[in-house]
Amino acid sequence: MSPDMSATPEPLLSLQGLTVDYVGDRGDFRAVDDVSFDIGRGEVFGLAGESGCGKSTIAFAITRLHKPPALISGGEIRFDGQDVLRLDGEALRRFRWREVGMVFQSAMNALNPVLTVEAQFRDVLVTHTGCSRAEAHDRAVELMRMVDIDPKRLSDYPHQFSGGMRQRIVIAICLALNPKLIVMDEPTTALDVVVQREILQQIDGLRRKLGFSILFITHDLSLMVQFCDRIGVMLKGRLVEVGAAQQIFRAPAHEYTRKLWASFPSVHGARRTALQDAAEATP
Amino acid sequence: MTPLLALERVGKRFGPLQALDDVSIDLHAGRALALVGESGSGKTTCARILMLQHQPTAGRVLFRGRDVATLDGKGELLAYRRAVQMVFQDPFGSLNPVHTIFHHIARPLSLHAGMADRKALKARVMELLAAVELDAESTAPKYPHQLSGGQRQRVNIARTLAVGAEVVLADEPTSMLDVSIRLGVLNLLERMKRERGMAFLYITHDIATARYVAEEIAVMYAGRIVEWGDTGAVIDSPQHPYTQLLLSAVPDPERPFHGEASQLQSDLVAQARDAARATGGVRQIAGNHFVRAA
Repeated sequence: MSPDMSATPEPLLSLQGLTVDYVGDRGDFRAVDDVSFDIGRGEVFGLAGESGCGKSTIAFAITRLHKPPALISGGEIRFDGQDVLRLDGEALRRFRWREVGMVFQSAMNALNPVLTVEAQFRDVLVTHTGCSRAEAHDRAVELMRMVDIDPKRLSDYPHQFSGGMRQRIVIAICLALNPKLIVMDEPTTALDVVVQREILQQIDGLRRKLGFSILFITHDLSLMVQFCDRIGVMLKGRLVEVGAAQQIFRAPAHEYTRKLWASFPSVHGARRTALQDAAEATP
Repeated sequence: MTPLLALERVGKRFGPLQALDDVSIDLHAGRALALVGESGSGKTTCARILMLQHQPTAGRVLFRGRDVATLDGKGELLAYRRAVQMVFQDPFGSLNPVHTIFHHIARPLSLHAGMADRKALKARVMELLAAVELDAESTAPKYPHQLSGGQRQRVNIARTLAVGAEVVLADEPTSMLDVSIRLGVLNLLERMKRERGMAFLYITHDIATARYVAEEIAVMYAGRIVEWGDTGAVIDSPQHPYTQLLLSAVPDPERPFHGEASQLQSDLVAQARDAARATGGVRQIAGNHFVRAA
C-alpha cells in the first residue's frame, strides 16, 4: 500500500455534513444526506454505490456545477483553504478547471466535433492563462505526449480518434492547467477492459508524477479497489463506510458493502470470492 | 450431437471491412456460449447474422443441421424466427412506452401462438410474468416507465418465452443494469437454461459474468475467434496472447495498480493485438479448448 492511505493532517478537499436536496412540488428529495469525507494531497479517493445513491450529485456539488432543482441545503466544502460554497463570479470561474478538473462518463463526447483538437486545447489555455498561440501549441504538444498520443494529431478532429483516445485527450485537456484535484465520474465505463486498464494505469502514473488528487466514481468495486487509496461506500445518499481500499475489499464492515461485493461474480469463478474471504476472516 | 443453432465458417464483409472471418460457433440446448471481446470485434454482427438481419458473405447458418438459406418463405422461416429470439442491451429502449406490460406479453401470444380466447390469454400472460419472477398482478397493468431496468429486462425475457423461443441471443443483457440486480437477471437466465433447456448466446465484455453463466466461451478479436472451449479451461489457462491480455485487464481487487507485476506493458498489448490479427491454423489444447496459432 502507498503511505498516503489515510488523509494527511491538512486535506486538499474536505466535505463536512454536505447535504443536497432536489426540490420538488411534492416535497424535497434528499440526494446527499450529511456526507463528510476528506481527500488528501496526491490521494485517490473512490465513491462507490449504485445508481441514484448520490455519488454523481456529490461530484457536481464539489465544482458547484449542480443545477436547480438541486440545492446544497447544508454543510461545508473546503478546498485548499477556501470555502467553495462562498466563491462567486470570477473566483468560481478560476476555481473550476484551474483548481479542479472534471472528466465525465461521456467525456469522449464532450469534445467539439467541428474544432480541431488543438483549438480545444487552445480554448482552455488562452482563456485561463492568457498565453499566446505559440505557447498554447507547445503546451498542447507536451500534454499529448503525456497521454501517449502523437502530437502530430493535434490538427485532427475528434471523429478521427477512437473512443479511448478521445477520453485520453479529454484527460490531457483536464491536466492543462495543473489542477490539484480531478473529479472522474465513471471515466472508463463506456470503454472495454483493455483500454480501460491502459487509461487508468496512465492516470495513476501521472498522478504519481504530478501529485494531483483524484475523486474517482464508479460502480465497479473491483476496479475501485485496484485504483484507489481509500474508498467511501454510499447508500441512499448516506456514506455508510469509509476505509482503505484493501480493508473495503478484505474486511468490509458494513452489511451493504458486503452485499455489494456479493453481487459481483468473480472471474476466478467458484474458486474464491471476496465474500468467502470475509467469511473466513471473521469467525 | 447436432447443435440446435450454429454458425459454420461464417464471414461477413461490409464494403472494405471484413467484420467476421471464418467464425464457427455451436449452440446446444440447455447450454450457454459466451462470446467475449472488445467493442468492434464482431460479437453483435454474429447475433445479427443469427437473427437473419444480415446475410453472411461466406459460410452457413445451420438450424438443427439445416442451412437456413433453404428454409421456405412462410412456415419454416416463421418457425425459425419464433425459435430464435433476442434480448437487447438497452431495457429502456426495447419496450414500447405507450403499451402496458400485459400488451407486450399478450401480443406475441396472439400473433405467434394464435391465442384468441381472452381468458386463456390472460392466464398465460400471468403465468409468464410469474415465470420471470415478477409479481404478475401488479406488473401487468403497468407501463414500461414504471418498472426498473431489471424488471424491464425480465419482461423482455418473458417475451421470448411467450413465442416459445428455443434459442436466446442475449446481447449484453445486464450491462445497463445496476450491480445489485444484475445477478438476479443472470440467475433467471441460468434457470431458464436448466429448466426449459433453452440455448443461450451470451454476448458480453464482462468476463466474470461470462464465467458465471456460460459453459463455453469464445474470445473474439477483429472479427475472428482466437480461442474457445470450456469456460473454466480458457479462463484458467488462456493460451492466446490476446486472451491473456484480456484476462490480465479484468479488474481484480487482488492486484492494486502500483507494483510493476500488475502493469500492462504497452508493447505487449500491441503484440497481443497483432497476434490476434494473424490467420494461423487451429491447435487443440485439451478436450474442448482450442486456440488459433498466433
